[in-house]
Amino acid sequence: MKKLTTLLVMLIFSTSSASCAITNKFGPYSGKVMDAGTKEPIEGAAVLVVFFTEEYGPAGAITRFADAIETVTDKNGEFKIPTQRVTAFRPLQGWDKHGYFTIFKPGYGCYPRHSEVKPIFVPNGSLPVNEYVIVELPKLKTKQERIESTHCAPQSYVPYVKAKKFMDLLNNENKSLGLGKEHYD
Amino acid sequence: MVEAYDNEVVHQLINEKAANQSSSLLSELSTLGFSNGIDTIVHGKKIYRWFHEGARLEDETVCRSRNHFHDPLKSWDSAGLNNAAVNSACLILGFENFSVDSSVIWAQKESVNPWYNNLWSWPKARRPYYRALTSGDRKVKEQFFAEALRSLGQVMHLLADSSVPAHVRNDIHVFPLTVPGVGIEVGSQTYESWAKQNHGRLSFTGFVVDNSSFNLSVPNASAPVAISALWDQNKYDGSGIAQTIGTNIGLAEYANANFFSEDTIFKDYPHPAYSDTNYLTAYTQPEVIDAEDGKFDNRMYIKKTVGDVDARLASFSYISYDLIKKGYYNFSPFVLDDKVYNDYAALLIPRAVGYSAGLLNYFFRGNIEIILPQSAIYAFTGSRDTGFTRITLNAKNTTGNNEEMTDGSIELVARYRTVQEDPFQPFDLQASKDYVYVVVPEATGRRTIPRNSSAELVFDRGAAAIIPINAVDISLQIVYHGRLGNEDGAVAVGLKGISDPTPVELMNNMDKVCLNGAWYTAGSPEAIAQVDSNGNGIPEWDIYPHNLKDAYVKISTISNPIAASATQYTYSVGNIGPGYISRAFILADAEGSLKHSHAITVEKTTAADTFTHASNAFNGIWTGQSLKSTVEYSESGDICSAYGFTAPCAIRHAPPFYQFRGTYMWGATGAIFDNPEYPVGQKCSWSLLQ
Repeated sequence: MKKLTTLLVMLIFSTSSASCAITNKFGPYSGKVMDAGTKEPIEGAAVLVVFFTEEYGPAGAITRFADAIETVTDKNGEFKIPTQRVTAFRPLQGWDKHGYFTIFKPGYGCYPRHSEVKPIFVPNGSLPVNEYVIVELPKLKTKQERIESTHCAPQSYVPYVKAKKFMDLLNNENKSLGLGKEHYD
Repeated sequence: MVEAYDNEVVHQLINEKAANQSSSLLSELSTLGFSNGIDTIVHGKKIYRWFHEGARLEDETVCRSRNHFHDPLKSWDSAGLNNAAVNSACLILGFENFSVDSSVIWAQKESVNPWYNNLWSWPKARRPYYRALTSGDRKVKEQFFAEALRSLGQVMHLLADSSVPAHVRNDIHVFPLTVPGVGIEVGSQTYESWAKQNHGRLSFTGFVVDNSSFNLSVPNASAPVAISALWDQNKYDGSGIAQTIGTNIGLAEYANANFFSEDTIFKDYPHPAYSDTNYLTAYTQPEVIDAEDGKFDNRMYIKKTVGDVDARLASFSYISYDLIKKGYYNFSPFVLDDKVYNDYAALLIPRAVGYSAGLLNYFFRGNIEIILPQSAIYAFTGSRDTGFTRITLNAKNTTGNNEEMTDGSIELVARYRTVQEDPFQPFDLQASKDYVYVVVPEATGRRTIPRNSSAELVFDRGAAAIIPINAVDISLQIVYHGRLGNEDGAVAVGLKGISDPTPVELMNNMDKVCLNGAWYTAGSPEAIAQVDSNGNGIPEWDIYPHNLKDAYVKISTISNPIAASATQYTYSVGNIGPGYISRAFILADAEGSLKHSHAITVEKTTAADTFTHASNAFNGIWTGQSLKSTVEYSESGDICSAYGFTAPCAIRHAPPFYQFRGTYMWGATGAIFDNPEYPVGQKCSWSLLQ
């Protein structure tokens, strides 16, 4: 196995000077976000999905941001993200085939971080493709819980323009919690 | 997927949870005024996100991750990843040199060449942290602080990697991967890819690291700081697992001796050995597992018989059960499956979090206590214009583990806000939003701070103010930068909030005199008439104005009150004329009371005054109080709008100054000196003088 691994590493590295665009299709995704306690739909929750490529090295794969798309749940708590074809100029990288979701609504536990959100798919944070999912978010009771929920913030490499609704919602929550405003650019 | 913990999720969660479990970090943040802890926004991001950044960026390039390995059974100079093909490939790529470091050395690497060396190591964290503390510009401070946090995050990444068996058993894995350009997935799941996919079920409650671990660090010129003990204490030499059980063991030693990586199951390393496990009897206790093909299998798990005996260490492959029952042990390959990974994570993730928290505790361990000096004040000024130009305080090393501060620079960072209005009046004040920072080196050349007693430190800025007279929310911060215990370049901090500038007022009210229940101008014919019973124009009572001459003022502590005298005084005033006020200012402790005393000589102002006058008069000792404006934080829109603010707001309430003869005075540390009233006991109200 070690010889095979070494050969593969050599193969990947030796062709590293080549460059190419890689592309992958993600989604579609759809579903509904609701209050875990009341089962009422949650309107205005930000739904952000991030796509990654993987760069392979001696200590495994390094994940690289490729693209992101966001939407907001409607009055019925529903969201829909159509099929996305993502293309990246990434020599010798592969795709992480999953899109990774974060769903945030002030006052609710964030998906997938909060321990009481349901359901959790494997990989954690992913949602199944071509399947209508119902995501339940628990209502938060304390200020500390609300602060912890803001830890759902997207990584700094996600451009503001790609997650504007999410980040604005998050910063409003930061402000109301007396935490100030984060810069996401 | 990944072989180390992935840089997107698990590494970041380990760093975040470690930061939240590091008592020293949280205490330091509180000390530095970051009231929201790891949720305080610094340089545009919350503090915990800087730790995320470090977790993510330590994997910034594929070749950088070559330095994330440490084999505890080798000498540290050769304990890094031993794979010539990988090193050659990185050399060919031109991004790195051929050599590779063990993670324990990489973590402490000094930055020399930005291409080959580590720019985000422990020393890299130390320097910007010191600069953050001693910069006078808030934006620069935040930028350096963020740099330090990111560097720490990257060092924590290295430490967390040493909880990954593959990283301490020289086992590279590029699997599983999607072949670039082809899209075919190759390779099976690893511990780390499982952890990423199941991070929601991981426990991030940190294992508690014994601080005495740092005393067990191994001297090594390439890794001189005692944090190396968190990786490797050279306790485990391969002879037995028992050496690695307990709390005082390097994380790499623990992971190497007690766990398998995918390609080193019962091979390449002495432990875990067959004899450490139930290998020969595992088949007697098969577990029924869901094979996810609609069937259930009997799966036999190997568990250790020493150490963590309940954890699954490896599994016989799914076809093995029937073979082993027939005695075919040698045909039974081993695998690490989901249940094994789950048990690995239950033991290794808390260690990764706990050891990382221990690393932060060590970084922020340097503590200094600031104590009121013997003079009972930190500073005095007689001038509103110059403010406080010299500050004196006592400092004591309160760092744990008996670590000494033996040679380092010592600086004072005075931090305060300012108010635009005259702060010495009974009106609500509005302070500047941002703090002002003034940095001053110790004036006497002192470079040590003792443990068993406190040392006096002096900070003098010449004619320039360290703290102006309109300062509020003042704190004094001492920054020591130098040798702490055995670490060079360490940083220790102490901070103390102190009083606002507190007026000490001596009012000579002896231009007035109280006669028969009414105030008169001292020495006036009307005053004389009140006490001239025989009408000869000569008063029988001293109704003349008087000077206050040679006024000595002494401020002392409640526990050691001292009377003012010509030899014991905080400051003196040569003369205060009748109707005049002397006002000086002190900085004292914010809480608690103080003692003030005055020794004054009363002097006549006219030859007509033939009465006898006291010297060293009014020499009692009174209990006083330093000034500290109170701030009320409110999230109420109604309350805030009543003060002209929007919620949430900080309302700085008016200090209790009172008005005397048109001047606002702080009654808690001053005195008003009157002529004796006539008749004795028939006093006049001061309010009649307004």
